[in-house]
Amino acid sequence: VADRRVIEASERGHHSIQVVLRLGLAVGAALMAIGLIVDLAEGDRTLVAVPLRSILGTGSIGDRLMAVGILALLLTPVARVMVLVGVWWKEGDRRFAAVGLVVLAVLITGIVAGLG
Amino acid sequence: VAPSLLDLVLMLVLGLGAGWLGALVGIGGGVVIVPALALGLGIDLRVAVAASLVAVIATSTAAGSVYLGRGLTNMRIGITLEVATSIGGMTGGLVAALLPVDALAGLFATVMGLTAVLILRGAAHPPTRRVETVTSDTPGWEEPGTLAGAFVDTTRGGLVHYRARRLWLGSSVSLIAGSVSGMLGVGGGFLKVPAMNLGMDVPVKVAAATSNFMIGVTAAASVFIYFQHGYVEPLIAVPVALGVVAGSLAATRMAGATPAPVVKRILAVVLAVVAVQMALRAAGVGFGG
Repeated sequence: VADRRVIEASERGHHSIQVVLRLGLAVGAALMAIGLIVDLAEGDRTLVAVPLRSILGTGSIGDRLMAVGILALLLTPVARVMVLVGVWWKEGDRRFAAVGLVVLAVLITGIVAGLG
Repeated sequence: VAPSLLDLVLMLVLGLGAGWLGALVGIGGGVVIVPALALGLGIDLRVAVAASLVAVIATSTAAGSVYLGRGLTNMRIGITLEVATSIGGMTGGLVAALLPVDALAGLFATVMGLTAVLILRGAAHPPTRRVETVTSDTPGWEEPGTLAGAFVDTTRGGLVHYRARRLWLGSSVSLIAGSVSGMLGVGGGFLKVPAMNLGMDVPVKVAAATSNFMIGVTAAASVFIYFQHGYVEPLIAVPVALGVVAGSLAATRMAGATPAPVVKRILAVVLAVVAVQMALRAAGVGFGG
């Protein structure tokens, strides 16, 4: 039989990540859907590659909304790892907080590589 | 070429089907999305891979919340394996930008063939752990400081404890799965789930949920590199991602979402046929770009 504190701590961690996932999905999906509708309403179906550096300065309003929505969705896993590191650090599970920091460092390196 | 309205509807339906099948059969939707976009709609392979990576993150985000609620995800196992997977993912993304498109297509055909074989064989341990009486109302938990936990197995009607072993094996396979994900836009769950289940002794339900948790982080390690190279085209990525969100949410919320063996067989045959088609295109006609 597990310690009640262990179960409660685990539930708190799961709940924190659920909030991050739901928020990221809601914001990302809403912006992507609105952007797609705006593009279709304007009759604009031109394919535009949106570079990360000029995400707010490329394409139509619809393209920009969709690109920001995609970015919000793509940042959700990064936010997920950041929150986990915080939760585990607060719980005193320094070992896994450190492992999370290593993953976070790799993700940030990927973003920096993406910014060119 | 600007996509027609029909193309956009097809992309939405493709995402819906890929998200639904992915959650139902336990594979990432990427293995369906990339060939459908590249072969079916004639989209540049790297643009298809970038759209698929966005879709993989959408699947992981949408289904992840449901799996966490069921107490199946072990985030400590996920993050530990993610050290190798995210390094593999980022490296794969960098390598993909340098490889010729036909080489990527050939590699994708190989991965599709392997996925078809693994789906048919059903690479999973039969459940052998002792089932205990459920003593609390929580569906599952993780043990702090370790790679262990417990979950309520609704199929067997009791509480199952587990502890991951052979981390080196899981990490080695995760490195390969991450590289494949970064290069080809697939989740890599077809490698991670058997590695966790057969190699690390993690129950298959926990392995599948933890793999779902991981694929989003892995895809995030490489997708920004595709962004930099201008392969993320919103009008292609968005309809697919929105479809995937709806499809994976529908599948994960379905009660008893265990697919009939016939569904698995049909999917495996389709994957094998498309793998041959992709290999032929890689060898002959090519994908352009």
